[in-house]
Amino acid sequence: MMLTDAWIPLVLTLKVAGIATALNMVLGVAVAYLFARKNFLGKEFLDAMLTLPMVMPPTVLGYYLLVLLGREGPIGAFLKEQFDINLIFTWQGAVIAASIVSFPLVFKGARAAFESTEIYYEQAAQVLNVSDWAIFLRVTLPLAWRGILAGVLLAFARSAGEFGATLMIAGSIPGKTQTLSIAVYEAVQAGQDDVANFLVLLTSVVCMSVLLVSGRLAPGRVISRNL
Amino acid sequence: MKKICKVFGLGLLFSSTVSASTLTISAASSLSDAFKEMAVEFEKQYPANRVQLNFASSGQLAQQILSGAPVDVFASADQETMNKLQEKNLIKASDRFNFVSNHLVLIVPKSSKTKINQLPQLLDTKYQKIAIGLPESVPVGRYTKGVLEKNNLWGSIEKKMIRSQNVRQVLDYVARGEVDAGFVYATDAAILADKVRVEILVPTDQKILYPIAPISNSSRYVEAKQWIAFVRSSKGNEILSKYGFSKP
Amino acid sequence: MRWKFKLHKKYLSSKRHFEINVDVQSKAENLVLFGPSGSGKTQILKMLSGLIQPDSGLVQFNQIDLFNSESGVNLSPQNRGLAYVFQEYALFPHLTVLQNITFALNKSWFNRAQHQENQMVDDWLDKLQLRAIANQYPHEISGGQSQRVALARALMSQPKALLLDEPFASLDDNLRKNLRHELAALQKQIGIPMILITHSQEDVDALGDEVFHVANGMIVGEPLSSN
Repeated sequence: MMLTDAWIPLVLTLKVAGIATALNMVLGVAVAYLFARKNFLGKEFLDAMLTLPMVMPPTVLGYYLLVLLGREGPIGAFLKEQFDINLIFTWQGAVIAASIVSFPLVFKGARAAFESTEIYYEQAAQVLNVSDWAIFLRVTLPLAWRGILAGVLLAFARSAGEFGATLMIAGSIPGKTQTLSIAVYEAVQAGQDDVANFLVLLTSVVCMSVLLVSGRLAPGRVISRNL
Repeated sequence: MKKICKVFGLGLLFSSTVSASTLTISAASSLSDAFKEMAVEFEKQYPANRVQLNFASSGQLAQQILSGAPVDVFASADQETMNKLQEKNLIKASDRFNFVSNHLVLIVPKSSKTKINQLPQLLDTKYQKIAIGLPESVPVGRYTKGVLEKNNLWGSIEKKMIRSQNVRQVLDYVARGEVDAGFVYATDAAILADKVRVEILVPTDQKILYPIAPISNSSRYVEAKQWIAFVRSSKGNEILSKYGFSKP
Repeated sequence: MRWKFKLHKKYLSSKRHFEINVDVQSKAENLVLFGPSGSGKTQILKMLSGLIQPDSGLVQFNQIDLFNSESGVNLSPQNRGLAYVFQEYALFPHLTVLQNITFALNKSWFNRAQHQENQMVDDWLDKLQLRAIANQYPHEISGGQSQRVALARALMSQPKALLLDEPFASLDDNLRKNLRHELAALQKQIGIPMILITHSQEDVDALGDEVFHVANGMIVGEPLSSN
């Protein structure tokens, strides 16, 4: 690619990672709350299944997704027939790959955050005749948001760096699915060191920004001076 | 960048059974099946040697060698990539041989109902996705781009292009039906003859010739030349033609 | 009959086998459940408020069923009209004293910025001497103040009755004495019936109209009336 086109993968990466993370925030938090507060049969087994994408090698995951979502796969064929939707080689496919690999990060972070929040705060709100939704938004979330945020930021970083699974099912279409990681990989393969260097610099700037923002949002530790 | 290649190189160095006579052969993806069988026969003939095969696109392999990966033999799918190494004196012109030739073909999924006789037909809206190797680093992609540019088709087809990391990935996409057509070597199409169908034998400006050479600073230079001699022997040619490769 | 409840609940764990089996009827204004720690008093109170579900039983207040395992009635804690003061106070740590107190008045999904709501709030701030700390956070106020905030918060929901779990447990003797008097006076003023659980005899003496002894999950002996 031309050096001047190097910003295209950056914008695409932010878009894909942003959407994937937003999806996971809603889904991951909801599921985590369920797991934190309710008991049901097979809970820990299901927890392990939901955490699996985090430990599975991305290319293995990518292969499963390709088989499932491809034209001849069970889900892919269904989507094609019913809705004329094909997810392979699309940015939506990239979003799916990114969401799946980063879901466990939000889920685990949120579950731990909810479990470490005392239940009597929610109980106190219940006896004060406030609706369950209001309790979740006004009591549960405000008390758990730091743990959730940590998970969300990790999920964003993971989504932005997603490579193996994305390459398999979304391919590398400049402007559509060629994310930063893939662009770097291909630039190196083609011996385009200047492009690779620039892309790596861009990626580093993005990562540093995410860390700095998270540092401001998370509570600052009180640095005790000379006690 | 170069560091990734260096780390990979180190990994290669420490991987599996690294004995004094383990030959590391980096070869283009299209040579996967032929060279795997070749390695088995070679080890039978020279029991003291072990062969370690490394398959990827020629461009990627060249980058690894340029970054210092400890490779003993390099077999590329095009002259240009080998030239890059020769420029940096990583191979000697006198050690370099063309050992096979191949052909470019246009394939479609076996289940595809349409018939393509001419390349311009690819412009039709019937063909939404066409898999092509990365022109910057995959020889089959470079050949394809060359042909399409010559026929003034490159500009229009570029937007339908599904870029693939190596020729086997192109083959896989076609075999799965994820794309409508793809450009691979005749030898690759033969591997999955039950899943893909060759529609056009694509003529290229120049014959597709694969060069092979030992890496000049290899510590197993002698064994590297043994391998190349084996590849060029009648036994080696037998194996290569079995997989559809033609004489150079 | 003001209070009528029959509760049965089995707790099965590897460590101990514990069962709660109580049958109580009382007309008293101030009902006290008196017993040592571990006797199940808190579980009983939580079952009355709906925060814990009994295996079977009945909870009736002023002849209205709040819970009836036979007929399937099970009002949520929001709808029972019973306020609850927790042993740990459970003041919302992220809200100010004023926001805590007015929590029940705000039915929306968002915690509103602090400002005085109405006359009732004003009254309670004065009656319980909380005006000075209205804008402080729970971690900034003392134990005695926390207890009063918890009380004000509970009363703000205009409950039909008040349930108090060891309200003076974590306070020192002097403070206990004062607050006991305050609570007794308050109770006479507003006339809301209470159920109080405690392991302190002085609490019983100061506040109990009718006292039930609880031991090992059961009522022991006959209730004592101070009248």
